[in-house]
Amino acid sequence: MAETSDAMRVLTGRKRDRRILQGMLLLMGAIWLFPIYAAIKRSLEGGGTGNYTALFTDPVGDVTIYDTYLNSFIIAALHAAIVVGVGALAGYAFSKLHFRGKEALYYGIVLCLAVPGTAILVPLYYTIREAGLFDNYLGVALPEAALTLPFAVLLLRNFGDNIPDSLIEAARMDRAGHWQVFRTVYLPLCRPALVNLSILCVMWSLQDFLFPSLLFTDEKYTTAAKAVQSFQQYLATSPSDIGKYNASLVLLAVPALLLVVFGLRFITAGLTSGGVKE
Amino acid sequence: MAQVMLDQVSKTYPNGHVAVHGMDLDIADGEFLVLVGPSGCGKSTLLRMIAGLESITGGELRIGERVVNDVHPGDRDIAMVFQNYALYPHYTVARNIAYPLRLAKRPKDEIDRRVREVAAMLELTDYLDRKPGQLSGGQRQRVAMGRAIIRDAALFLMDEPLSNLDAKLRVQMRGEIARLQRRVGTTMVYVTHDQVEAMTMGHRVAVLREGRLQQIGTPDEIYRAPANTFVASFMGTPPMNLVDAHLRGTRTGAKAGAGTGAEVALGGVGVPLPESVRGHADGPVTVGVRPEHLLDASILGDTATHVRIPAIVEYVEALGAEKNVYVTLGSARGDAASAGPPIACRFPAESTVSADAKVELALDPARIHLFDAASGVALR
Repeated sequence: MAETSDAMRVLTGRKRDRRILQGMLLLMGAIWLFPIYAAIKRSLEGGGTGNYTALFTDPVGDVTIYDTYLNSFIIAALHAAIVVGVGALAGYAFSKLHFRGKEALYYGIVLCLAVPGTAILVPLYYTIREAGLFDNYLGVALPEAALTLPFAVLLLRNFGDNIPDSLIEAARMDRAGHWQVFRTVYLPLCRPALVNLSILCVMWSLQDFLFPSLLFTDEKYTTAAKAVQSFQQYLATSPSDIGKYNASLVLLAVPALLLVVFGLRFITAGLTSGGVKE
Repeated sequence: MAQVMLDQVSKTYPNGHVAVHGMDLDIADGEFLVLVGPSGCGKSTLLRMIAGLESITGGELRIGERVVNDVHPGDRDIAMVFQNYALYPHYTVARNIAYPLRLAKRPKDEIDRRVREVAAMLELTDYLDRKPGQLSGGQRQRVAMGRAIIRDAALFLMDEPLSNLDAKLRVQMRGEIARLQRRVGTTMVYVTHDQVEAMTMGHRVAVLREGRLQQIGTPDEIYRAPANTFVASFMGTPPMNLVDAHLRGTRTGAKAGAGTGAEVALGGVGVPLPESVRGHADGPVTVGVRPEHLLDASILGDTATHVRIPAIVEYVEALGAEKNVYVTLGSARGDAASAGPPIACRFPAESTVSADAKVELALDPARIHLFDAASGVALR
């Protein structure tokens, strides 16, 4: 603790400098918080907190706000599971195995990072329809995973490259097969990256508006992000309900916000310390 | 336990670089062999080839009766200790040591018993529930050895296992590893760049340079009769002094009892050479003398066998029990005989020499090593 405050002192210098720094941080905080303040203020117009309670008790159109949360989380969980599962296997292969064409394949995959979701929207629409995955959670989670996977491969390969080869070699000499090395050495050591990755996947899923709008036709599949639009037609039309609509916008933003606030705590580092000495 | 035989084993990388040139080694069952050499000499590559972590591009490797060139590392019955220990940071000490047995799906009570035995042998019993991150360097080192021992493998490989420890701990672990090897009796191949480890730990030492075997023998043989100037200067601290000189008189005065008549000039003094060099022709040679064979004549007293060579002290390193004294040969600086780097001598502590003083060195001619000036190969 003493070290931290010493470091702070070095960073902040004299008292006056510190005051200026604090003032600037406060100002920046205020700028960032202003939209949230405005949203909350408007959400209380008309009915006050009753705007919120009404959303929890009455359905909007065909769905309740709980339904939208649940839909969002099912897709997010599927998305994260696919990305983590496939990404971890790919990360192991790209960082610890030697095979012909490895680098070309790797760069090919990473190149896909540059493909925007909107560019493949039309072919995707037909593909999902042909696959019979309209109005199916997988129908949204799979394309999301496909777009996230290049990033996952990039992240996990870089992380895997930092796991010393000697750990893998030691296990191989102790007669471990690749599956055992993957399960007992690589996966546990990649845990910080995997937790990180799954939190990002969930966050991206919660924010995804495009795919749910395109690939769900049945209103009961409305996700939280899509509800921003679909609730509009029920609530934003009458001036008396506009406060309620604004309240729904605040509530729909809550899951992603909570995830960032609490999820980031899981992002652990330094797990590999002590195993090897370089 | 097993015998290991390397028959013309070599390693050529796809880019054409040859890391190991046709290497012949015969490691006896239960032997402790040390591979030593400067970095880049191919010693670690050779060890990894024995382990199966590097492919063998030429020759044949046998462990026991079996040719294992293409056998998977896990099937060679070899345990290896890595330079960085390669412990699993997410497992406890007990789990790290048990890892090979768990993979082999041995019964749980057997695993527990063996882990306790090995931990007791390595004095790790109190640390079994800790993670590697909570251990000191020496303890981690012992955990790594525990993981190797528990397997009862036919062969132990150690890749510079002490290089990450501090000096004091290194001395202690050096003794522990040598004792442990005697106790379990497993054949061991140990790689190091530290000539002190090579001298003190193994039954035999193989000195490597640029992927070629320079000499193999007991530490004593290597030290007393180095095969070439590289081995001569690699083993020993300070290293053997190597001086360019001219061998003359190999064909004259060879009468019984009068020596060979052959001599080399050191510091302007002719040093008569023993009988054995008579077969060689006159010409340039490299003369090698170990620092401990250059004695301080003032405290030696009278001996007929020693030749006296004048020198000037450049500087003195007092080490307590002894002094490393660096001198220039010849009776005056700038003398034709004084060219080249300073000559190291090891004097006892009671020697009173000081920098810039004149000193007389006493050298027993029998202690002189001669090497071919061009190839560096020992002349015997």
